[in-house]
Amino acid sequence: MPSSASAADTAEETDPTTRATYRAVLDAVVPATPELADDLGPEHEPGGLDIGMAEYLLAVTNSIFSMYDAPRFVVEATVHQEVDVAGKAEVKVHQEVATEQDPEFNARLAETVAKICDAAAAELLARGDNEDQPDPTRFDAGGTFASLSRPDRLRALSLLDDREVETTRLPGGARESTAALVPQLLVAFTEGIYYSEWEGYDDIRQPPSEREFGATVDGERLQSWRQTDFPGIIAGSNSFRGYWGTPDASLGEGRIWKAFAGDGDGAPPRIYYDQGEFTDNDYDTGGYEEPFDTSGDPPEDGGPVSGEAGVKRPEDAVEDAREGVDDDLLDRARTDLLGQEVQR
Amino acid sequence: MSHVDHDVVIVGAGGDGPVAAWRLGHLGLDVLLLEAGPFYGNEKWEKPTEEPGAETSSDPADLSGALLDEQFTTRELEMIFKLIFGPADHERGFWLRKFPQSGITIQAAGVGGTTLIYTGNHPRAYPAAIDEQPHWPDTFSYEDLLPYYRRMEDLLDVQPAPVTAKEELFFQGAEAQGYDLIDDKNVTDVGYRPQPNAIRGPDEKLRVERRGDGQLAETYDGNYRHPSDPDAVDPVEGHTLATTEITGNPHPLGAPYEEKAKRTSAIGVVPKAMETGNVTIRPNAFVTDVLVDRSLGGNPEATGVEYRDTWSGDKESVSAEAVVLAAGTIETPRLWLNSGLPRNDWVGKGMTIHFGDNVMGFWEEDVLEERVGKPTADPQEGQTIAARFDYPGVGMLQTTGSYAGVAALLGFGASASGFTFTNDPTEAPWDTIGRLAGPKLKRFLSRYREALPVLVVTDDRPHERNGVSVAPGIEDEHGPIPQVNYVPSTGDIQRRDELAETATEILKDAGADHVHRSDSPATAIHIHSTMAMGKVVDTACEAYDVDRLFVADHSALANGVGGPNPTNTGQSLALRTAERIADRYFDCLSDPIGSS
Ligand SMILES: Cc1cc2nc3c(=O)[nH]c(=O)nc-3n(C[C@H](O)[C@H](O)[C@H](O)COP(=O)(O)OP(=O)(O)OC[C@H]3O[C@@H](n4cnc5c(N)ncnc54)[C@H](O)[C@@H]3O)c2cc1C
Repeated sequence: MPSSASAADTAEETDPTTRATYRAVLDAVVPATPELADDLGPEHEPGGLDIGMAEYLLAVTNSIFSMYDAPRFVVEATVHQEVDVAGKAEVKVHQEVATEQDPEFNARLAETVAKICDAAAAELLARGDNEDQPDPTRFDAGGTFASLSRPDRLRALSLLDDREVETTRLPGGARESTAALVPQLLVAFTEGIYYSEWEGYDDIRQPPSEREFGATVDGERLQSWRQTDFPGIIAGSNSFRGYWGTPDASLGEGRIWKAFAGDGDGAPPRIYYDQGEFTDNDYDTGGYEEPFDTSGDPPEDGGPVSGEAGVKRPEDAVEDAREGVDDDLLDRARTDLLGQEVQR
Repeated sequence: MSHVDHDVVIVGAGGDGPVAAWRLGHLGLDVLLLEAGPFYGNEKWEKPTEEPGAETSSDPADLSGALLDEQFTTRELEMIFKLIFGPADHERGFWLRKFPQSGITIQAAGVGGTTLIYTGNHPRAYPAAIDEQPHWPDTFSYEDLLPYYRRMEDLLDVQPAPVTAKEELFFQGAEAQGYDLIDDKNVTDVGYRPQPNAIRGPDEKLRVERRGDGQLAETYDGNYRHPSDPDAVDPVEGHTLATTEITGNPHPLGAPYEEKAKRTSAIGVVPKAMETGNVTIRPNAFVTDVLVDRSLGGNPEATGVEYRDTWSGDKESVSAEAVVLAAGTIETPRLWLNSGLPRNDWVGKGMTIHFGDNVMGFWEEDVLEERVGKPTADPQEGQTIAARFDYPGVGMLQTTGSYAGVAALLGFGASASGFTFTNDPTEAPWDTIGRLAGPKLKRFLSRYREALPVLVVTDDRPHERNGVSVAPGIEDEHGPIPQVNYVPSTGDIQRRDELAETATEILKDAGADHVHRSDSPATAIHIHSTMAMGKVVDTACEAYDVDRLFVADHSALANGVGGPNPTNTGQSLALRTAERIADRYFDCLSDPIGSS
């Protein structure tokens, strides 16, 4: 698992502002919710911060992609505290090549991601789209993003979806199309990990064969499992009903477990005890019709996933990436952030 | 550099590569199967993600169900990090692919490839997708695949999937919408059916008793282990009805390697390949170059490959009479492009991904009680994907069970239309659309057991703009990394919307009180047609521009086969390709499964 010891070490080296940003993300995506406790029960109150998941999210960001032959590096992640009204976060990049060269390493992305969040927050404030007053004391050492209320933090991330954040002054000029990945990853990963078995490991950084896992912590089932009523990792379940079929079909045979009225034109369906089988039927495709457009053109507006890459042949997209400063995290991490070519 | 000679070298031991290896080995050819990822469940690699272990394995006695049980814990987070495409070494992250829109490709590394995490659904293509859509060569038809489908279905025990509460719910909705049950293998009409799954059916002991008054009783009291396990209590065979397909499903625990219920290519095919005595598997070997002889005039001829050991970084090359690319739909074109093989405008192009989406229904407990006799739908129970809806020309739908982490990820984590609060679905058939976070997310997830997600799988068509290229200057240890581009057409979007609406109607007619649509960003789980037959390879799947170089993975499919899960078709075509190789270059094709 990419939560390697090395990634963990560097996570500990991460500056306090970046760490605060991760706490702020977690706190917005899976918050503590006393209001749900009233409705659904006390087990629904605690959120991601209560199980201490923020550091792990950060470590995952720093170890999700492999990077070969990369020098170790550390980026100081201070975003200028005074956000200027034009909405452009001032960013100071500080480079430090570590003494040790690790031949196998992973791309270190947490600082970049955190800065993109700060830029988004700055943009939200500059537009006056925040609903609540920012409060710099929400998280120790927090930057702009961490100063926002929970709903405003989600609003800031959503500006990244719309590619409406000026990010050209971020390290490596993190461009819009990359920035749009940030909410996808941050939100999806946070949710996926929170609702997984994560809390049950003693130390997830251990090699898989030495990892200790339990379905309870301090005698209670894992927090997210209590909140979803998920029964835990099961070896099986006593849930077999039978096989779907109809008296006319080759599927379903033998005793009937349950019969239905059925609203289709065919015979009413049943759940049978035995399987039956599919029929290796003759077929005729003569009547095939295309219900929808087959021209291959994308919609005028580019459609749902076009983004700024637009309609391009793969080569053009590559050209774009090459000229276009960055929109590649690995490349950026290597050359732009470091200002150096990797020696191989 | 060492130098080894083989009749055939195959690049990639994923879904399809082992099928070709099995058939070629069976025909008496000496085959080397190179795989970038580790070999799980093999005694030569007791800790496959922690230490390099041995080099090769060719003896089926090396296979160990007990090791697989240890390694495939079915814990979601652990297994996803273990299996997603990346180096064996657990300290290293995934191999990076560039996807400029916010899309992702999901593939796995290791012997078995992406079938290690697949859900075992093995329908055939829609016949019309091959015979009526314009993408396949005229000299190839659905009928050519039939004998190979039959052989693969037989080998992998493909059979109708069982019904648990979640399938019963979906089928009720489909019936209420007026659709009929399909019992065909060759599907030309709209309707619903149980999935044909490459998964052995559950043990009779796991049956829920339904008493005369409709009351249900769950009486099984064992530990779901296999009869050959000394610790088994009330042992069972076949699928144990825990939705662990995506997390590696090694059940039943305690079963010998070959008796695992889910027939991944590692379980269902690799042992057969090894039993031929002619197949050697070399994991942790990432092929970086296809070697060719250009001295012959005319087309260059493939002569072997170069690979890099993912633990030591050492490079080796091997020579062979024929080379088969089966590295999957992203890495096969990447390898071609990075090997400097002759330019062919369609290498990497025309990619289809079944442009997917996720539509999730939520039920009130009393409605469930009335419909399925208990207050929960229980997405953690049953085979992961066991019910489907077919719609030739448009695509398909399938119910998707899962544990809670994957449910959150699939259903709520990512969306092409931003957060729910940025969308107004008043006019739409679904009640909410977009990414969910915050208190709303927790509220929805508190209903995890009363929910049923349906996966939308679109018959998207090949467009030249979509596909894989390499990004020069952006390299990892294996050369320039793949860059993936995907922009659906108007028709693709219409098909997907149509399917999402159909799913919503089915769920509502099944009694769901709330339907949520994710509007997922391009999430490529079924990937095809990046080295398409008729464009890059001929009907024997040999490259037009390089002799003795074949493609035997989903890249060679000329389109997305209409929407059905593609592995049955990919494997059947690979089986056929093996016969074509044996016939064309080795003159050893005896007892052909199909005609040429
Ligand atoms: C979550 C999920 C569920 C799915 N469920 C289903 C399903 O139910 N039914 C279905 O039909 N399909 C399903 N699929 C899709 C199915 O798994 C794939 O279509 C199928 O595995 C593709 O087979 P393949 O041989 O083309 O590629 P893969 O299975 O991806 O195999 C390629 C192999 O090559 C190796 N490799 C790559 N590059 C190199 C290199 N350079 N050198 C050496 N080795 C290399 C890889 O490590 C891998 O093992 C699912 C996919 C996902 C992600």
